[in-house]
Amino acid sequence: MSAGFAEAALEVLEGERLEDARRILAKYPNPRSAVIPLLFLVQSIQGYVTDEGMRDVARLVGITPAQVLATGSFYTMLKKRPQGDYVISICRNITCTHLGARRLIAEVRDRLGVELNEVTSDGRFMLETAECLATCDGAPSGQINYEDVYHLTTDKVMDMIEALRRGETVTSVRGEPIRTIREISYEMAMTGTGLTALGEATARTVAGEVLPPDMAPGFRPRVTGTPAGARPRPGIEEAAESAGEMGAPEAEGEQPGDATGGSEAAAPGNRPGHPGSTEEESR
Amino acid sequence: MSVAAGPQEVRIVTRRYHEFPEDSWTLERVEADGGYEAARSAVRDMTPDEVLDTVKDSGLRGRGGAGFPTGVKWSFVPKDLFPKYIVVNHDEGEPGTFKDRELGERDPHQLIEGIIIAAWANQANRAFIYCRGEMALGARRMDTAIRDAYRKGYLGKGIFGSGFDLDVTLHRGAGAYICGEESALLDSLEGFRGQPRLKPPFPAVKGLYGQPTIINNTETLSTLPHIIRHGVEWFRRWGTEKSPGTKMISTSGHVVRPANYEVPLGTTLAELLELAGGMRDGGRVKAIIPGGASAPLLTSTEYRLDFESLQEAGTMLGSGAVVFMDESTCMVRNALVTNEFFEHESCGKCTPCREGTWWASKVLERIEHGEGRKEDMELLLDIANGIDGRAFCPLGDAASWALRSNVELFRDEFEQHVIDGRCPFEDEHLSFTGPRAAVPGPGDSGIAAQPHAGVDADLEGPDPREAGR
Repeated sequence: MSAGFAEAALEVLEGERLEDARRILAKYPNPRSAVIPLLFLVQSIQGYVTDEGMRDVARLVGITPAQVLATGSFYTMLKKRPQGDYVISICRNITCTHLGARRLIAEVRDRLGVELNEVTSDGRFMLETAECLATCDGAPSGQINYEDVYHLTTDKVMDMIEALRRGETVTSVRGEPIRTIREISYEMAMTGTGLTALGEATARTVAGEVLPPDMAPGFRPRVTGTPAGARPRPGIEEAAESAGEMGAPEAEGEQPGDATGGSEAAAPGNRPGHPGSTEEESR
Repeated sequence: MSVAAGPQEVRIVTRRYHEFPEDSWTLERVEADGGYEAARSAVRDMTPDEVLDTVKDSGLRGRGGAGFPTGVKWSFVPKDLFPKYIVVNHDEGEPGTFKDRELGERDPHQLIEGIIIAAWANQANRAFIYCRGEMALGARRMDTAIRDAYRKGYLGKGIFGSGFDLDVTLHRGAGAYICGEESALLDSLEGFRGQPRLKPPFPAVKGLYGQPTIINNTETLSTLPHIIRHGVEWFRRWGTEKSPGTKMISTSGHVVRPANYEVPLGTTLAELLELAGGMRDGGRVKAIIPGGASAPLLTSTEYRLDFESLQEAGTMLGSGAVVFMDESTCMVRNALVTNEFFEHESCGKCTPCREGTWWASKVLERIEHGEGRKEDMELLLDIANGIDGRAFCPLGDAASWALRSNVELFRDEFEQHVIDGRCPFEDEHLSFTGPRAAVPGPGDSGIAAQPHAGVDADLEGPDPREAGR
């Protein structure tokens, strides 16, 4: 990562978690791609996506907190309010509804004594509806903390909730133990980072992969009709021509956050040789 | 081989996990079963163009929904522009579809092998798997599989001892159906809100990070190793001229055995229903969704499941999700549930889709609650016409097709709701929706995108829409 000032100002993603954040950032050619996993990392620490967490993500990625919120606010799994330890999501879509899901949802809600999306008074459970979870073969179906549960009845859901309340292990229909929302958020954040830790995935990735300057964080790739007029309009034929000019990042001044600052981890193609590459381990 | 002897599955992409249900996702099992041989021979013995031509000749069509010929899609990629990317669309969410989830959980190595073949053919050195956020086990198994493949030298530098490098990165979504639309998926993968991009330029020319990008569905890629291994002729033994091969059909609804069935394309709905054990409780088919919630309804099982037959029937094969509904099904409710889904998943970028789906939900809701007006059916069709062809991306079109087909095919039932002043199917309690405030949409507790709610409102507390509705 670039900036020392950023680390000093971090409120949530510090210490070990900053190491985690770096591993997440190292997955991508462009740090902006790390926004969602970093928000999951925040959720794993604080239980939900907090304002200070979003500010940290903004600093690490090199964009503004408003840009982080703009991204984060689009996705249902990133919660802006406390969600308890276990989120029970019951599908309300076509197959599940025709097999009784709506009544099930209403009954579970009444038995829990909370409204939908409201955390129980002990702060542990939240019931929500979900759109199709790709589990129609077990309709009415749902998930507890994103582990699938099938053929639900009100009693079955309540039994699982009670078991979790007693601290027992509850497993999904596929035999996976249901974890807490913080644990599952951590897993979600760190998916695919094992490679960078092992030095397997290599940062070099694509041969000579260098980001075009207009891919700096916070900027969209310029497509046809570049307004700034800096670049010819690339069609298929012209694309090859413009490729050359996209080859090297411009030195500076592309954007306020100074994108190139974050690019050591992010644009690994810049690294000349990569130590600890896969070859020795794999052969 | 196929249909004459009665309906039977032809298991190609689903074979391994049916044969070895205990460990089909482990590298040991996959290698013992001949896994990665196709990828190895492609990289070692075939030129990229040979692979591309094989895929073109196979006639393989995209299994994610649009049915676009895979080889043709590949050929749009400019050859001399680098870097280029392969992106796997594993963001399965089309209502009724649950095939990619199964492939990701139970045979992730087959997918990786397909990725290697696609990457070699297109000379892409990096691939991203965009895995739906809610698929915890699938992501876990794919993550492990990728790591194991690296250890074996199937991924990474100089794969299979060749000079070809390939890195695969697993990325997880965070809950948004629209990210299954390929350009929205790219925006999401780049760390933005998942909203579709204007096309052209198509992702093949300017995709991820502005570079040439091939986006293929999981089932599509999982089919590649078999085509490479057994050849085009073998693959074309199944299916039709225009829709060769087999297809996983996610079968659900009021059937005895809801499951994925891999059948040759061209299999009839009746045969599929037989495979699924028929309608439960001896029920009769009232309506069928033949290709996910986006596909207009059918009322008969005579149709063939392939791209061209269903298109001719005015609907589509889509993602290959078939929902059978029996006569206990209220079609107003079906329309409402379907429309609510599109309303919730509308990204908010364009007005016809964002507002149209919202208004249609209000109208459908009042019909279901016995407060419909006799002009409402025309109003719904008018809303559908106002969205169709005027939305920014196919989500709006899909919403309008589903809405229109429900109203047109079951107009009597809609009218009966209005005349009787109640839903004829079930009592008040079962008529689930109630006032809208009682059933907030999925993720409303979060910072979920809601076109009708400001960000400030989300930050402050209760959703103001709930008071308004």
